[in-house]
Amino acid sequence: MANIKYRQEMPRPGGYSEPMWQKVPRKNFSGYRWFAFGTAVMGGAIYFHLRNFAAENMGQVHAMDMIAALEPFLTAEKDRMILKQLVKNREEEAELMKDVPGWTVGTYYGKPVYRNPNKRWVIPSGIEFYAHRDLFGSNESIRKRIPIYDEAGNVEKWLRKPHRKHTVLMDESPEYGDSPVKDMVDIQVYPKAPY
Amino acid sequence: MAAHGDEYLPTWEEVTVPELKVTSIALRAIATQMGKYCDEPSKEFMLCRTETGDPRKCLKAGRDVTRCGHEFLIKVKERCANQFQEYTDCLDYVPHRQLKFSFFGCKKLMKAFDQCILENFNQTAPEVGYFSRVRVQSTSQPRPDPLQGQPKPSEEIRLEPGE
Repeated sequence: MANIKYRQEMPRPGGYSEPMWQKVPRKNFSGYRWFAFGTAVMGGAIYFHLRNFAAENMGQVHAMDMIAALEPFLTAEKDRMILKQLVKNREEEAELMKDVPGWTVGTYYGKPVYRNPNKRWVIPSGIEFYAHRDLFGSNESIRKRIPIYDEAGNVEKWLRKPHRKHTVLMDESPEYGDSPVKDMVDIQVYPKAPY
Repeated sequence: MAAHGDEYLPTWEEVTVPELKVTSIALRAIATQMGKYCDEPSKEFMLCRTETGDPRKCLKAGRDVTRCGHEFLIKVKERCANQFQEYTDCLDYVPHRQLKFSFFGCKKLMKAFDQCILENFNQTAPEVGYFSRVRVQSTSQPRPDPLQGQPKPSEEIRLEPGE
């Protein structure tokens, strides 16, 4: 133990270097480089945007085309649906009010609702349209069970509505005519209620 | 009910025709081709519908439109059923958001279907934007009366009580 020489710990010869007191700027691109970089990014973005925008716009126009092309078909069907319901309403009202003396269908005891001598088209109000028809329940197209009527007008049996097929096209060519053909009624898939 | 009298509403037979029993997605798939095939009756019907604003006066034109659609659908079923079914199935799986704006996923199938239509019907697919443009129709139908039987302003109107 006596041979051990102790030595005071001291700075290295020459001393430590000065600590950095002054501010060091962060390494960065120069302003011109940043400008060039931003221009390149923006130019690329604008290029790709314009390229996709044209395609996207074409898709939108195509979708609008589809809707516009379908409009006559859907409008024709909708018109017939509305008129059918109005005919049904008239028959229903005649059946319902047959025992009331002095009652004329479509009027209030012979007094018409609107002054309409030229028989112009009056858009039916909602309460009138749904007078003899449930809002959701007994619509022909959505109800699940379909009554089959016999000749006397009584319900003979109930049919269950078939499952929706994916694509349903008519198998036979329907026979139309210029004038309303009575055969059209028989082509219906579901039997007609005895109105 | 405001509709009274037999002459106000059409008969039941007049409004009962076989409708297009096709799902919405199939209608969408076939819309542009069917619209081009039925261009004349469609324009005639829409002209009548907008001019008169009266569904009762356009029943004949509406029947023509639906009959034409039937014709086309039946022909497509005969000749291009496979292509049409593939295209429809593809469209059915496109999310609604995408369906509203573009059809990127189904372009190949759409082109195959259009090609089949071109071969069998000799009908090119309408260019994009064809139906979005204003289309002019020269019709043989007479121009409807804008007053629709109303008395002219110069004429004297006498209202009876209760009329």
